[in-house]
Amino acid sequence: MDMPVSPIEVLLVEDDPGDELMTREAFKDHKVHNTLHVARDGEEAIEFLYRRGKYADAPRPDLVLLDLNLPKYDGREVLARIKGDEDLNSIPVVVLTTSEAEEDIVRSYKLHANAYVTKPVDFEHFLEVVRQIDDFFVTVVRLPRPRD
Amino acid sequence: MRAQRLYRRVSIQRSSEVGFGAAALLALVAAILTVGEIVSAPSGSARWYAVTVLVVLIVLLLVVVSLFLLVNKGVIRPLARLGEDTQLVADGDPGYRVRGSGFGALTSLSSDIEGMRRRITHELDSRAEDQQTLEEQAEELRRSNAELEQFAYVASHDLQEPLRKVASFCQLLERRYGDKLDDSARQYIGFAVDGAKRMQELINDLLAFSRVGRLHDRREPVALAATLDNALRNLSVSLEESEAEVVVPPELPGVTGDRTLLTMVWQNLIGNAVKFRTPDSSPRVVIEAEETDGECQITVTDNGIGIDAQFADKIFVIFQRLHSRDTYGGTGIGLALCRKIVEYHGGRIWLDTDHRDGARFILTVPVLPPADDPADPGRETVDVPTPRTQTVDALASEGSEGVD
Repeated sequence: MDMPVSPIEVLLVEDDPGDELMTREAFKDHKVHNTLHVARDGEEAIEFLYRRGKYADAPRPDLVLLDLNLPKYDGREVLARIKGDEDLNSIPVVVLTTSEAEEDIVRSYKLHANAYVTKPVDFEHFLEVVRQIDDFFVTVVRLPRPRD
Repeated sequence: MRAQRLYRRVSIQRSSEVGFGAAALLALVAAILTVGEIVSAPSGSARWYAVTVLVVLIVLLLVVVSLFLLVNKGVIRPLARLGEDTQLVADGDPGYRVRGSGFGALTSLSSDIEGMRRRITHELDSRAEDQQTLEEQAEELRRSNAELEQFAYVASHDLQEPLRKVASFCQLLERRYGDKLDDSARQYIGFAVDGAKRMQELINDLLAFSRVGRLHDRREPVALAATLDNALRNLSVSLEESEAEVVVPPELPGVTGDRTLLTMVWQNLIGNAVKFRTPDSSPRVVIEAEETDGECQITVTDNGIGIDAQFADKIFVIFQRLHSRDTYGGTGIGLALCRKIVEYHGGRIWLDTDHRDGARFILTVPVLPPADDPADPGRETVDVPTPRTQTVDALASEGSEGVD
């Protein structure tokens, strides 16, 4: 039985405007138009998730794409925060970062990241990776949809 | 041992005491007997004779006693003391001053021994200082190496970031506006993207090159055969695709070094043989090994396009290429890396300029003595499905089989 695919809310936590633009472009290429929200640093990401301040009307994201190297709160701290919070820890978090360092990979999984993806250096590959992440989390996996 | 020495020292004193004591006792006994003689002798010349003997004996006794006292004070005691002090120094207290006493000869002996002790102490102190300096230098080197590695990693990482931007956005440009661009514009974009990608390769290769002897610097027994197996496994796709044949020697020795680096040498040499193959011909790589005098000489021969003798040195220079980028890819670091690694392991590598029909590389490495060889039975061999791998022995027997 095929479930109808509905667009999901994605929170991208990324400080670099170039990388943000590239990710947007990559998402644009897909049939399903998911809504992409962007937080520019760790603090904004937390605000968004807790729906505080200017993010009071923000939707609860179905998926978080998290860069590790962020100003203010480091991406690793954001990850720990999300996965440490009873209310937020069910949101799948995919770490999407340039780092290939073994210690970053291990640390992220230990902090309960759902997946770790290294941004490919080539744009074509990057497109493909984003497509795969999208497909996987939209059509393949089942997401928790707490209707609040 | 202490008890033994003490016994010796005590016995020197004791035996001198015993000796002198016996002499004195003898004289005393003789004197008593003479007195007896005097008393029992008739008067006259016999009596005078006896008295003279008595006087002589008394004088003798006095001489013996004073001689004993003199020798004891001037020689025996000082010697005993010298022995004591030297024993203390020898037992491990180099700071203990050796005392001198007694006759001139003995005092000079004591001062000589004291002089010797001082020199030894001085030696020990300067040795300890040198050790300290060496340790400090080693620590400094470790720190500097760690810093360099951090610098190299960060530099290459941070250099990659802007390149990613250039490459990615040029590609995006082509995607989104490709239909609005003419052929020239698309060509420009192509060159821009290609340039960025090549720069990324160069940075990665440079980083790998700088890591030889810095990050990869293990010195442990390595079986060359195992590293060859690893390299063949890593190359399995390209070996399969090109239908390559790799002939491996029946035996390879063990060396001291880093297994990752040694795998890289095999991988580069065999990879090159496949890359620079003659068109319309499947590559064939023959590896031979010969051990002489603590060294192993390995030759890697291929049937590819070969290398002109005049470039025999140039090919080992970093980033030097002999072909245009269109014909053969790569940054030109492979052989430079091989040379650096082989030299790090105490060996040499060069191109055999006498060989025609393909390229032949010769490398020598110092080998482990058989006792330390990790290539002994007990190491597990992994079955790698390398296409058409044969041993040199099998080849030889094949040849002889055809004759009859």
